[in-house]
Amino acid sequence: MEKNLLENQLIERSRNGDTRAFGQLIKLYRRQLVTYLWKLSGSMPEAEDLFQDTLIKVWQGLPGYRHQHKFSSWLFSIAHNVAMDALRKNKTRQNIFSSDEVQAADMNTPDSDYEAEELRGILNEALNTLSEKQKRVFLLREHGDMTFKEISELTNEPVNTVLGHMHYAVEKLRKKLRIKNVI
Amino acid sequence: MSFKHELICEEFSREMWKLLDGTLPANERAFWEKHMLSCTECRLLLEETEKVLYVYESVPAQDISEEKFNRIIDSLERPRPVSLCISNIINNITWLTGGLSFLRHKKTAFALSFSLTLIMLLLIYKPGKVSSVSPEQTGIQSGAAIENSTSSEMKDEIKIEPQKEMADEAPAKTREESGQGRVFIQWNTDNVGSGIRQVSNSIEGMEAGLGRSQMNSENWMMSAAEMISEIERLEKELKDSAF
Repeated sequence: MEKNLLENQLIERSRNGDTRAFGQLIKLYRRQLVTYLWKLSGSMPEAEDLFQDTLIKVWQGLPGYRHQHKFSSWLFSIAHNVAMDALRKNKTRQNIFSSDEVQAADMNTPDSDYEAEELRGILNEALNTLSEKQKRVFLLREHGDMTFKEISELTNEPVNTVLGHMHYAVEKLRKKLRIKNVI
Repeated sequence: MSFKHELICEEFSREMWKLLDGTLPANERAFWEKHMLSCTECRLLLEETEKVLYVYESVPAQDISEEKFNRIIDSLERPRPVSLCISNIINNITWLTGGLSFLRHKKTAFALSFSLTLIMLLLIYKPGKVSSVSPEQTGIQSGAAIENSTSSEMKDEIKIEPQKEMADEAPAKTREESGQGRVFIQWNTDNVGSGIRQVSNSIEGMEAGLGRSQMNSENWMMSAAEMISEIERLEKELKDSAF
């Protein structure tokens, strides 16, 4: 409740052109947003570009935000569209993580250790085995904090289809983690 | 496993997510919890799904540096150039409800500029009512003859009407001389008043000079007449060659 109140205050101040308030508002979701874009794009530099593009669009679109959805859902739907557009332009891009990219990504994480790095690598490898739709649904659910109904509206697919994507995404991850003896 | 049981388990694989979210109504939650007591597969499915999500969520999230973040936020203060690019407009509409307000401003600006352009065009092309001076006075007896001998649509007459006191000196002769297709500048003083009288006086004073210009305009008229006849001749030749 308190978080919602704070968020609404920050949204109103941001609407009035207060960039500091906007920065504080985005900070509430920054890590999730960056992680989402990183996992979707497969590259930290590209994730940063997508993050910047997303913020610009959110900043421009704030006057039109009417609280029809949660702010986080709205934020991630914009991020999703930005990422999809970029990925469409760059269809041949490989999303497979190299060890260099994993290490480079870890430089941004202050509390990384070897086990976390290894686990992250395993999970990213597993994510890359998912189809685009499965990956999209899984990441929106896990990072975007979106309900399946919201994901269904965003991706323009029936809710049952979205649930199916999620089911198969988790199934593939489960198999991968089992093979690696993580679970 | 019976077919009915299979259907229930298939349904569970979807409803399980609502169970994990805590959005199932109490009676439905009770139903599925009871089902899991008797169905090992569904219970295992739920447990393993929870494990996968737990492991996934345990990995620290990525983040960008504070410096980069602040740079992005600071860049938002700079005014963005107004882009009339159609793709930007479309993108705004598509992505942002705020794009609608952006589009409204564009529409207003477009409507305003269009109206202003229309008004300017009307002012430029509408003939003004200034003063009435006899064609003889102005020496522009036949006016600037813009000819298109073959097209009556090009006849654009702006007539010179004489002043009232000079009404007797009607430009009938001028009209006879002008013929078709000649453009006259018609000055109509009916609605102008004393200010026009002053203008008339000034024009009278310019008579001497205008006499010269009259001569020039007559010469020009002759040149124009020659051009007209030349054009008529060429047209005739074209027609003849066509047949």
